[in-house]
Amino acid sequence: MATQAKPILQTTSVGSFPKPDYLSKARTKHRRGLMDPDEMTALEQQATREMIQMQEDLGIDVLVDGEMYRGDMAEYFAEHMRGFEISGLVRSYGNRYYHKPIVSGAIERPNAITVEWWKYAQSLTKKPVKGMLTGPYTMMDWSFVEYYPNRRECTLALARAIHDEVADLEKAGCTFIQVDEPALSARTDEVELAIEAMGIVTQGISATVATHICYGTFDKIYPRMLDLPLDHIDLEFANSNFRLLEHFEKHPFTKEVGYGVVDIHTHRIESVEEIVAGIKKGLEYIPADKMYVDPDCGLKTRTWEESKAKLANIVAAVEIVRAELNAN
Amino acid sequence: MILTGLGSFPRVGDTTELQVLRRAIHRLDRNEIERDDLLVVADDVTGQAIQEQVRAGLDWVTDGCIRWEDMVSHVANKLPNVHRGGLLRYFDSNTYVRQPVVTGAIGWEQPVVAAEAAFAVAESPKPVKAVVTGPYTVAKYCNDQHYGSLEPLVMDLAAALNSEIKAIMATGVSCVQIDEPSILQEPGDWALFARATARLMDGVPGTTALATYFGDAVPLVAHLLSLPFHIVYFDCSYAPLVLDTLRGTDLGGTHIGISVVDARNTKLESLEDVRGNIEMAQDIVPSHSLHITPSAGLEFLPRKRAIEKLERMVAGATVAAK
Repeated sequence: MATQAKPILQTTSVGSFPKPDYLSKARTKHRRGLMDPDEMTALEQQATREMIQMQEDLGIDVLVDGEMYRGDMAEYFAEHMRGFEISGLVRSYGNRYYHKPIVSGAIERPNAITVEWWKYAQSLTKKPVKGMLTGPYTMMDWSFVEYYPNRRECTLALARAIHDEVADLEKAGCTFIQVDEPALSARTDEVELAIEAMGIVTQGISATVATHICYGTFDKIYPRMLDLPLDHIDLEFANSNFRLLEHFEKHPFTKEVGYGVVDIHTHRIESVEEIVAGIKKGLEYIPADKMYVDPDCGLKTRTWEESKAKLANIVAAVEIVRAELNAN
Repeated sequence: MILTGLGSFPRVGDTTELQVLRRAIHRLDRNEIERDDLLVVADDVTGQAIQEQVRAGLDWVTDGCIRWEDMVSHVANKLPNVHRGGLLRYFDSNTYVRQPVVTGAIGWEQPVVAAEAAFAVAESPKPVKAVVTGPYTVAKYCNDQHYGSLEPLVMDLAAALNSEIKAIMATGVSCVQIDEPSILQEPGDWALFARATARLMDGVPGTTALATYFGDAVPLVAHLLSLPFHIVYFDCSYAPLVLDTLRGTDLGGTHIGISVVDARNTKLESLEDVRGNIEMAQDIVPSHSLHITPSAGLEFLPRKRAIEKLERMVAGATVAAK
């Protein structure tokens, strides 16, 4: 969906947005069996429309559907594939808990999972909407693997299923597909496995494929992660006060970057000046036409107001930097 | 043979009644309750975690680390010149810790978590083991803006934690367990680790234990046994070959903890497997110095399965003892 006039420093988001109150309440009712599925879908569509509108109003360049119909990013795909069960609650961090999937049988993807939602979101805007998937290594690492004899076999089975989803998204017209691998650095001796699995996912795909990686021991996986067979890597920079950039000193970053400039785990709204400074730091290492600017990670843990304020400041900061670059 | 956990216990379950702590923290975040109200709930949930361990049949219990925000920063972030920072992934657990940000020399002024140990001692009908994350592991997660290199940071943390451990010992706990999973990832740091451990344990009375997990301890077994701890716990789910290595090693009187259930996978071990593993451990470690444990703290499992794993461990030990 890239046009020739695409401005530098495209603004985007990593994926999730906070759910509006009416949707959270409806989801609770739905879990308790007190909500008609059609009514639920109508509310999810309403929320998706609001998400797209909000991003349009803010002036974001590459949109996401906000994942109004998803819960946790691993759990959602586990629910829509064969071979998974959902466990009881386990802690993610602080006071956050999730239902960790259990791989209790052979993994299969009988039907497309996200394609209808992507089509719906794309029908609401002329701007490109990203396809959003969770990668095979992360799905494996964030599940209890009971069925497969080892982590590798489970990961490769997931890669085959996710490849089919990527191919279906591409067939539907999606040109920018993000396959998140936040767990990439979980076990540094398994980076090659994650790369091999991504090779299966992206085989024969011509759409731009991106991944998002976060919160890891970056020094142990960089520059090896540049071997991921895809075009674009989205990383969090604000969370570590942009110290990740030090790694690019020795080994230049060779792909497009999704450049996280606001911390999604704090209520504090970063100022425009602060974000401008962050972008400029990054531009010392990454060319402007290869840099997409976004929050560190999905915004679903923030409130609506916080999310909007953070994104608005990102857009304002990008406009300032664009103007300066164009003036020069 | 002593049956015990390695620290954490799931703080919520799947029913509404088992989620009081989660709700209380939400309400505190929204300023609907005071911090003291939260502490009452945390005490309550801690008491339940202790009771569950007792009910399952453990010999030594912990407070379940119910009050810990994460497994690294609980003590460290309360020390002078250490602040709560951003999130970092904690090993390969899909959980996250608050990075301790170090902005000045780390010292120790007064006990910061000893009261929690005192509470557990008062609550528990069984001996209580307190857990402290060790200086090396804490240092590896720190955002150091003061020292500039690992060694002085680790050594100052060791000195500060030494004072805290003495304060914890004074509450009447039966054992203090030091968690140092990070050393398994960085065996090259052994010399520093040994120096820090000597400082950490300097003058500490009572029974002390070292817990290692989330990595392969095989290359370090003899080194670990040479440290000034009475007990060393090994994660045999991650590194099943630890048992073989122990077979050929002079234990030198150190008590050995062997894990027989996997704290990182919901798959429930069969009674036969648990019993077999305990019997194998009994072959290698004299019964009077053998400790049987899960492979790590239990908070990585759903609560129900965590309890089932403890029960399976106790059942396996009961049949093995016969």
